[in-house]
Amino acid sequence: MTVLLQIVLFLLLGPVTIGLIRKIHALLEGRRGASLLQPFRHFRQLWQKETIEPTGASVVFRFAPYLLLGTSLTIAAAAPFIATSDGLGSSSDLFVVVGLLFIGNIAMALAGLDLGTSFGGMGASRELTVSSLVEPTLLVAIFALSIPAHSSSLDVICRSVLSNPGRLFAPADLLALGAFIVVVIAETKRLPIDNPTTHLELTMIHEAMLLEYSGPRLAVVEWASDIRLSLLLGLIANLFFPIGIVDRTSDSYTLLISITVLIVKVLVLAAVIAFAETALAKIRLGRIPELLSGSFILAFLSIMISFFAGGR
Amino acid sequence: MALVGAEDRQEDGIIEIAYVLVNTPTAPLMEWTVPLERSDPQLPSMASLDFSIGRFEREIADQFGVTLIGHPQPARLVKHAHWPENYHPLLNDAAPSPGSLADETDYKFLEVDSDAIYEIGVGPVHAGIIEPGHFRFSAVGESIITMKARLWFVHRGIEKLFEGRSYPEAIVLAEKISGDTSIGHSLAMAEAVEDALGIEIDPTSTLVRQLLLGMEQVYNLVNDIGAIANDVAFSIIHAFTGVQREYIMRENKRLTGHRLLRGSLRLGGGELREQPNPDFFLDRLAAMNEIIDIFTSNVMAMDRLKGTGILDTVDAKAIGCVGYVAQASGVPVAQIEAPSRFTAVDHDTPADTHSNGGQNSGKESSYAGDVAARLDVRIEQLRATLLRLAELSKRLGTMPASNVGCDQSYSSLRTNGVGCVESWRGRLTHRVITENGRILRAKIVDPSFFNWPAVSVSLRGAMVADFPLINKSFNLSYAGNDL
Repeated sequence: MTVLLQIVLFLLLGPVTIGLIRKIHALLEGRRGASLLQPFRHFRQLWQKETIEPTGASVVFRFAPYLLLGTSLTIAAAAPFIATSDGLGSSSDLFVVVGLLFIGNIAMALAGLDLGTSFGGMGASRELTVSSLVEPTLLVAIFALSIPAHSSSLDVICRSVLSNPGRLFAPADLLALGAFIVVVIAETKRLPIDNPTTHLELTMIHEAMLLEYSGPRLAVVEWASDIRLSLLLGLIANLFFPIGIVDRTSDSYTLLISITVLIVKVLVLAAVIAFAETALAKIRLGRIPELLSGSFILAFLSIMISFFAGGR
Repeated sequence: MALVGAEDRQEDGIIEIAYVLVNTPTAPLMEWTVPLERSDPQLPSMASLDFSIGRFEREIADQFGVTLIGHPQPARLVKHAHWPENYHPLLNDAAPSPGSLADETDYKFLEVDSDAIYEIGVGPVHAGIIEPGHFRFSAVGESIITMKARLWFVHRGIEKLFEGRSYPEAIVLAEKISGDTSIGHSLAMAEAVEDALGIEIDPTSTLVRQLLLGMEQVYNLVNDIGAIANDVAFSIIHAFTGVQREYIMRENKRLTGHRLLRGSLRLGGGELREQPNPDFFLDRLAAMNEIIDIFTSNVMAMDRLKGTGILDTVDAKAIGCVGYVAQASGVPVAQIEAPSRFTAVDHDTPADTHSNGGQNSGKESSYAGDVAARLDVRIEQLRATLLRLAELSKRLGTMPASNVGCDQSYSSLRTNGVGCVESWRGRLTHRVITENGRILRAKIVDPSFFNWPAVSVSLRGAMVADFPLINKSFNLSYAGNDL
């Protein structure tokens, strides 16, 4: 039940999150901005277009968008977002989640390489450079949280934080939170790593891989990317502030509260990102590894503290 | 060297090459002509003396079929491969159009030969609403080894269009050479014709021309500052400057009836529909100072600009760069500016600081030639120009209205004249040959023609991802270059 609920929720929440970020940008820049539901209209428009197959496209190019969407929805189903320990609860292991995320990344990178265009190759190379730095940090950051819980299951981590809210302000958790935020921004290709609104092919990271996509497939890719953003924000929210999450499915009333709390948490985080982005410029491509290795150090320190201080 | 042009004088059996030099040690402007045998035109190349002369010569070779002797790189410049080898559009006996033909030859890009090198081709159709140009990068990973720009996609044959135009028509046509330099080009055309006919300008018209030139500079500089911010994804600055630019465009419309200031210049004068308001410019200055403060105090944004796309002084001088590009590379203003006999810029106004040499010469050499320097030069120019515009507006309020009718009885003699204007982008030069109230031949040089080769040079060692930013910091006109 909650599995289905979580999938549907994220299908809807993803585009709204992006819509909110764009709306806040617009308002801060003195524009009126489009409605929060604009991404859905955009998908409908793309969906009505014909599918264009670029010359030389192979199976990889055709199925990568669905793989990306599939992995994103699997995470939405498996990880604890509105309730812990549902049917798929036991598989909501942190390695599973991170693995699924990167299956999606690899699929898109391969699709970028598939056509042999210079932009696709360039985008894929940049994407994988960033991913190879993001992946270990993400693992280590969640791992730091899993030490006090004595389990790598996201469910157990959530419940352990829930039962001991004071942990929120422990140095280990704060460091892990810092590292986590940086990698989430890198993973979702927001500023200062990548500029999602640019039209300049040469500066793109994520978008450069997608240049050959159009019509329904582009809609799938964009929808999946939006979902990933809201998923990662949801993970931040639930791993560090799991307030509002229900323990096993009870009645529909508590479930409703839990859903509302999750939506609020994700949208608040999105708003924070949007506000922060107006004060940020994009950093030099060569500086990205420095930023990410900094976040790795945070994650590593966090794990050290958890291990030595928390282990007592 | 400000201009090298040619004229086909069929009746005399010669092709005349004209050289215009500015800012020489002895005179602000020198001009000499070289006649070539029309049946077998051969021009000894001076490309080894000056890089820009070499490019002018290639242009003449394409347009007039002149054979260059001793040119180090006698390849086509203007004509794309589908133009027949023996078709030279500016010869008087050239057919109106050679028709649409298949590419005869491949355009040869420099190939960097190595396993690790890959090529990225961008354009000529770009993702943004910009003009067409093709850029071919050879890169290793993210580092650019070399970049070749292929231009002349917007070649409209505009020099040919000038032939046989009356003077008012020519001034209107000049506005269309490059949209963002409408005043610059039409003013240069007007001054060239005035120079040819010996027309004097009354003081009020001179002030009006200065004001128009300044207003064109201001809206373009505001736009550039925002565009540079946008390219480092600092979009809020772009939004703010967009608002300021719109105010200026509306003021343009109020003063001249056209947002790009078109239609306000005429032979022997220039006119405004309304009285300019000094406070308007001071308000813009205050608003822009605030925006610039936000921009330049952002460490992340400034980090992207510093050390990016460096064009050093030696290269800038060798290439013959003009305008803010040369200034940002530390070339003294006196060497690149249009000579004062021609510029509408009044050096006596107190607000005009940049040409007073002295205390500024040290400051100029501190510009590092990177994107940040090109931004700094623009910011300084913007501040100085806004102050000057306020000053000009005050002075114009006290001047009598100009209604000097232009003498319409044009001499039937063949005369030539040069107009040289320091436009917002840099020095631009027109040379016209007139007879019987008509233009026989016009040669146009946009500042972009001098600055385009510098883009490739400044990319040495840069990252592929920085190219759009570097290109934007140059902000060169394709239309002005391609003509």
